[in-house]
Amino acid sequence: MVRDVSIRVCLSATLLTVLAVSGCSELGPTTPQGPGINNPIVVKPFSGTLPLKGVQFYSFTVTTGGTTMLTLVDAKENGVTTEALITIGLGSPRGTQCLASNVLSVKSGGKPQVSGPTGKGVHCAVIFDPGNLTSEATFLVNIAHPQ
Amino acid sequence: MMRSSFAFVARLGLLASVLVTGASCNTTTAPSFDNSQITPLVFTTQTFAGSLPVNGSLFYSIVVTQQGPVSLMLAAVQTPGGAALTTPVGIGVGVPAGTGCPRTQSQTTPPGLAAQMTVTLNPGTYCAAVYDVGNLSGAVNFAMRITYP
Amino acid sequence: MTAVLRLKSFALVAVLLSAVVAVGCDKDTPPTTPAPDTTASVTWSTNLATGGASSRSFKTTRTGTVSITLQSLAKSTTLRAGLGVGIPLGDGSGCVLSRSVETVAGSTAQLELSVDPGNYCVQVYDLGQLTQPASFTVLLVYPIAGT
Repeated sequence: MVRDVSIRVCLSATLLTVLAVSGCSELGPTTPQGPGINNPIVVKPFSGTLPLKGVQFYSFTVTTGGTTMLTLVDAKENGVTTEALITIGLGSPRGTQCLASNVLSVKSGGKPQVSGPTGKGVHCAVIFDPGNLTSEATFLVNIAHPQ
Repeated sequence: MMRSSFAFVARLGLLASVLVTGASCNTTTAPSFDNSQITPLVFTTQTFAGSLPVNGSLFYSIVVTQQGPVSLMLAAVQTPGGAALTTPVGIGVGVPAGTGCPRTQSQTTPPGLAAQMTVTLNPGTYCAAVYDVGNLSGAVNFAMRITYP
Repeated sequence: MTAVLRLKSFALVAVLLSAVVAVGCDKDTPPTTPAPDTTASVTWSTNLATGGASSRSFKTTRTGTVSITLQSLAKSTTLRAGLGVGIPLGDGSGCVLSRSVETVAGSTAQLELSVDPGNYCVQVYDLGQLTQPASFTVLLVYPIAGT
């Protein structure tokens, strides 16, 4: 009898754990609001050369929704890390551009500088020189987005 | 008694024939639709124009809001001076990814004023691409008309 | 005998009913006959400036063939001009030619091209032969849908 109860408790606990880990509840699947255990993130390096007052963008597809974060990891003019502010942003591909809805002028650093909600669909990260560069710059932007 | 039974069976048979006729009539009746549930397709037309370099590839992103036909018409390929050319170039459709437009369908075509490519797409974000297939010896100007629901 | 008569009467009624029902089946709404597809003919007469270009737009409402004839040019049979057809840019900045020919005036169409429904433009341009503004006439025939 005691053994039966133990087995039931154990099974229940296991079931609850499985439900919790899989993001389920009595109310149905839960929708994570950002990257996490239940919503793995993908980090994509977006690198290239930014001309003076130029624009580059990178498109990516989100299938589950969540928060996307951008980090200008590095920007160099003539091989030297630049102190110039460069604008990065999140948006949607439209026409020949990335129509950004969330932008910020930043210097390169190690922490995410721009973040925003990205629903299921195609999005883009954009980088452009607002006029601060004195020569073309190489750059690396990390895009961390939900799958 | 026997005649009465025969009459009963005959009546049943005739009634059945009437019913069958009526039933077959129903099968030929056109189904009725609730017209309010049918959303007519509304099309948007965009012109994608630019300068295509040798070995280059350019794309234009669109948002399809209703499932339906998306057509690409490569209307013009011109010299930088504006003279019309008949040089075939590549056109295609895909989903924007990375810094490009990976094409899921493509073809090589000379310019014309009738759509060269029509594909049915579900709602979503797509891209229309123009690219050099190796025919260009210098940059050309192009104009593509994109029509989508 | 009476039973046989009854049976005959019933059979007659049943057959008649069947016929009526069957006739009802075939009773369709008379088809409406759409107006036949046709073409629009436009005679376009204006002047061509030295070194210049003159354009006008037209709209087709069905698939078909557009036919363009440069009928006269400065009352000359030897003077040549450029004749083209294409699409107008959305910003109204011009006519992007899809096909063009260099031609003298004549009575036979110098340009014929398949078109989809949409907006198009025709252009006459100086090839460098004009020494003064020249009048010209173009006959434009294009497909339109019946009403």
